[in-house]
Order: sequence, then structure tokens, then C-alpha cells
Amino acid sequence: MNCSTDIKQRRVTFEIDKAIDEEAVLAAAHAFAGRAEVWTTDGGVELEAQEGSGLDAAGLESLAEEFNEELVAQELRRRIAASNRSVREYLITQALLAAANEQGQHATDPQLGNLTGDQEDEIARLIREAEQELSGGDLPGKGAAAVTGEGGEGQDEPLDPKEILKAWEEKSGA
Amino acid sequence: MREAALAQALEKDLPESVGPVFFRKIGPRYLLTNDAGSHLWLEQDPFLSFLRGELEKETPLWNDLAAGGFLGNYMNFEVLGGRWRQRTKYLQEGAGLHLVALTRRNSQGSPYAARPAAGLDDHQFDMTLALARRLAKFIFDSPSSEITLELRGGDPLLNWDVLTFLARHASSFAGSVKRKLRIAAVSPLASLTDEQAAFLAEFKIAVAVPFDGPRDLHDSLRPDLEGGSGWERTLAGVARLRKAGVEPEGFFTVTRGALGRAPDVIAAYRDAGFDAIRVRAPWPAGDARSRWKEIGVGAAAYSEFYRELLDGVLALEAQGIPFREKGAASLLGKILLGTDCGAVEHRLLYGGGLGELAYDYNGDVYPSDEARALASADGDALFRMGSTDLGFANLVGHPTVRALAVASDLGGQPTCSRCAYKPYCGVSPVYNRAAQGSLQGRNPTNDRCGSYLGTFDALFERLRDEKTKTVFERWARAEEYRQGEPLPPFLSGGLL
Ligand code: SF4
Repeated sequence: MNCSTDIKQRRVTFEIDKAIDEEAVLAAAHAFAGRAEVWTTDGGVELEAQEGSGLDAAGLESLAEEFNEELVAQELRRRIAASNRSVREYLITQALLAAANEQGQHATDPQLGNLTGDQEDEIARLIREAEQELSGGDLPGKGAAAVTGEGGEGQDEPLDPKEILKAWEEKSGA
Repeated sequence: MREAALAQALEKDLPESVGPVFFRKIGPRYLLTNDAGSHLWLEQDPFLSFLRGELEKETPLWNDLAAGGFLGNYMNFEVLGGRWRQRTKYLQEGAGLHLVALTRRNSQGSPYAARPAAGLDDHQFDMTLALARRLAKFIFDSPSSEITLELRGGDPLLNWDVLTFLARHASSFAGSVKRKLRIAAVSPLASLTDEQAAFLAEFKIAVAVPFDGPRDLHDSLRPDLEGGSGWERTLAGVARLRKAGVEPEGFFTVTRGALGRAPDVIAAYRDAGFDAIRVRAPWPAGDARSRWKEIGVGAAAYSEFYRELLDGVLALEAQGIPFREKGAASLLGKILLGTDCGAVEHRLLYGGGLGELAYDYNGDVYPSDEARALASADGDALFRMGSTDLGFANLVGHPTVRALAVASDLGGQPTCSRCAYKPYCGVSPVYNRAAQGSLQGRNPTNDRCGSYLGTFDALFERLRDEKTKTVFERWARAEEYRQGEPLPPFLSGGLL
């Protein structure tokens, strides 16, 4: 692997594959928290191993290789998540709808006659609220594909034409 | 270069056939999982072919991938959605698990003992009968048709009048409002009498006991405050309870003194007559925090101990001696049976408040018992929500509960959202607060996450062996939580 090391500074610098998105770099850096600080450079990264790690040149190179491996894995995970976002949303929405139907039938069960409707509504409302508040990751309702609203003639228009809801990583990576 | 093979998959866009899959490299091969809970092992070359859309159709491997829901263009949404629903049924249910701390008093020390420490005669730290009466009624305000009432402490047996009152009245309330009720208690059993054992048997109260295995380990972690041996008194209580017909289960917390001693721990459990153990990782809280260097265990050491213990237990099974690790059995239920194991800490959203409520001896209500125990061990009352006067709806809708749900959402946690163990795992913001000072935590340096990674790795690696898989299936069935029954006791996370 092509990299340059600075043992005194515990640093190793190398170029990364252009196919790797910035989001994957962030995810890999997150996974390396506690082992190394990660700095982005022009077209590459610089890792600074944790103090006291005592890594020699070979150790730093091995750290770089491991990080590179993590980058590839994170980029694949990013692509898989992005290309399947709508599939996952559809799957989970279907499951929740089926569950809601099941609950509707449940409510008529005389065994459960002592439950108050308000309490059931309250729990359902909280779960809905919590799900709406979730902002990271890829649950239903999240992501560019889901950020749509009613447009003219029944067509969905983006609700966020200026992309003010997009995280900076998404914008700068685009 | 090690990553060279997989990097080939980055050369072009992913094909449609790559469905919503999580993956993790363990040793030379890849474990694939998905939200429906399917899992499949692939060697490196087939995995690469999968990522490049180069798999031959209708081969056994292709069929396995299709059946598991891994192929994006061959997904049966009805079946996969049904599996997801089955695994997350708890999202449709209310708080059915109620944990009540009857007293702070305890005759044995604990790494998480309450502060200030309550003397054995210090009845100011006992729940009163008047409060217990209100609680017995309150827990049936839960919309859940199945209720689990778990009595904790200190040692709940030391507040015996209140324990018997709650057991009697909760049972009679359950009968009159036609709810299913399960009662349980966690106690060191150090002061258990024959009469008490008979009562526990009569009311079918399940009992768990913190037991650290070898005598020296138990006595150093849970010394008897009256000068005897906590180990001896606990074992005497276990024997008394068995005589009354109640089989307790043992909790084992992995601490530094246990490292390298997994065989001793198993032997001590067997000598004490247990045919199972439930292994837990320690928390940096209370006394354990201030003594962390002496008793604390990080994720790597925990995982190593866990693998040793699991192999020791499996070696017994291979000799025809049934013995199981109950924590593994619960997780295996999620992996092998596709059901929810009933553990409120292994959910898409943390179950504190949504699946569980906890009550302190003085009536303070917390979203979970670990939140209550953190307040009593550390004086950190961040999660205290108020009292039952707030009413059920206001407690489960409390901003604290919402904050916990948002902080723990696995889809929002940067590492969890793409982790291969996401379908089976869960996050505890209460642990994160104790260990890392924030609700979200930071998984790469979080020992709870690291311990779960180690645990899941150990389970999945061993699942590749057919004989072990048969044993694991038996364990999973033995601990299976059936929908429509009260949540199993002793699964709420926390400090014991
Ligand atoms: S807590 Fe850790 S092991 Fe569990 S899903 Fe999150 S990242 Fe994976």
C-alpha cells in the first residue's frame, strides 16, 4: 500500500479510492474512534494513531490498510443503504399497516374491554412521534426519496427544492 | 492488499439484485443479515459475485439468498414484512413490565449498592403500604393486557409485608380485570425463611439471585454486611427455596476477578445445583465506577470471557449434561426463531417507558429499572419522571421517554444503522449516560456495544456447527417468549 509514515508524530498518510464517498470516510473515522484521529487531506486521509499506541512504521502501515478496508466496507454499506432505501421503507410501512389492521381487530376483543381507547391512542401517538423525530439513519420517512409533498396535478414535488434539509455531507458529496 | 477483493465491487454501481442487506466480516467469510432477521454466511468470492450481480440464478446459493430476502429484485414483501412485524410486535404494545424497588436495604453489598447506604434497620428506605396500595392499582392502568411485576431492591424480601401485600393485591386485581399477571423477585435470598419460601411458591413468584460463582468472587463482590459469608447465606437461601419447589435462576456479572476463570464459574454454578447461568457485563456506575480498575471489565476482556464460558457450557452439552447460558438463549430466539425475546433493551427503540416502568421505594417513577438503579447508585436522577400522580399516559408520554426513544433509535445511531447485528440488538441510553455521559453514546468506544459485538460474533461463529446449532435451537425454545404472555422477568437490563 502506498503511504507515508511519520513515526514520531504517529501519523500515516495515504490516498483513497475516488469511488469512496465522504459519508463513508466519516463512518470509517467514527468506527476508528478511540484508535486514531482521522484527518481528510486533498484526495486522501491522514491517520494519527492514539497516544501510547507505540506503532512503528509497519504498525502504522497496517493501521492504514485496516482503515482502507473499513473505507471499502463503509462505502459498500452506504451504497446498499442508499439503493435500498425505498425498498426498506416500503417493507416497514407494509408491516406497520398490517399491524395497525391487526390492532383494529384486537380492539373489539371483549377480553380487552377494560383498556381505554385514549391510552391506546396515546401509545400509538408516541411511537409515531418518536419515529418522526428520528432524524439520522434510514428509517421510513427519512431521505431524499421521502421528502416529497403534494405538487400540482397530483404529482409529488420536492418539499426541499433548495436542499436546506440536506446535511452538509450530502451536499458536498453530491 | 487485504481490501483489494471487495474493492472490486466499487468499480461499478450496485446491481438491483443487491437487496437491503447488512454484512460483517468474521474471519475469512461474511455474515449477511437483514431487517427481517434472516442470516446467511458467504465466502469472500460468492459475496463479491453477489455484490457485482454475477451470481448464477437458481443455484442453491441463489435460492438461499432469495429465500432470506437478500435479493433486491426477488423480494416477497408480504413474507418479509410479516417477519419484521413478528419481530417488532412490541411496537404495538404498552408498558407491560413494572419493576418495583421495595427497599434500599440489603444484607449483602453490591457493586451498585444504593447511596447513601441504607442500614439493615433503616426502614426509612422501605416502600410504605400506602404507596404499595396505590402502585398495585396503578400498574393495571397500563393498556397492556399482560403484566409482569418484578420486585427488586436492595433485597425486596427485607420489606416482606409490602411484598406479600403487592403479590396478593396485584393477583386479585389481575383476576378482576382479566389480565395475565406474572410476578418475579430478585433477591440474594440471604435471609429467606421457610415461610417466605412457601409464600413465593404459593404465588408462583419467579426468583432470580445474583450469584458470582466461586466463593471468593461472591464474597468479595457481595460481602455479607453482618459479618458472615454472603456466598454461604445465598446458597442456603437457594436450597431453602428449592425445598419449597421454586427453582431460582442465577445472574452472573463478569468482573475482573472472574477473567480466566470461566470453568470455575460453571463448576460453582453446577455445584450449587443450577442448570443455567445468565451472564451480564458490568456497568461503570456506583461503587463499580469508583472501583473500576479493580473490578471493571472492558469489551475485549468480556468477549474473551464470554467465549470461554460458552465453550465450557457447550462442552457440558456435548457430554449430555444440559446447561445453558440464558442471555444467549434469549438472543438466539431472535436469531433462530424470528421472535421477539421480550427483552426491553433489545429493541429498535429502547423499551424504557415504552415497554417498562420502574418505581423506587419512595414512589419516584423512572422509565426503566436501570435508570432507577443509576439514580440510587450514582445519585444521577436525570431520568426521574415524577410520581404515579402524573398518571399513566403522562408518564409514558413523558419527554424523558421520548428523548430515550430518539437517542436509542437503531436507525439513527451511526454504527447501529448499518450493523449486521441491528436486527437482534438494542441500545441503552441509560448505559450511555453512565459510561459516556450522553444519551446517544459513541458506539466505537462503548463497552456495551463492544460486548454485544463479541457476544454476537461468538454465537454466530458457533452456529456454523450443525451440532451446536441443534443445542442453540433447544436453548432458544426453552427461553421462547410467546406473544400474549406477560413479558419474561429478569430481562430488563441494568445493575444487579
Ligand atoms: S449496539 Fe453495537 S452491536 Fe448492537 S447494533 Fe449497535 S453497533 Fe451493532
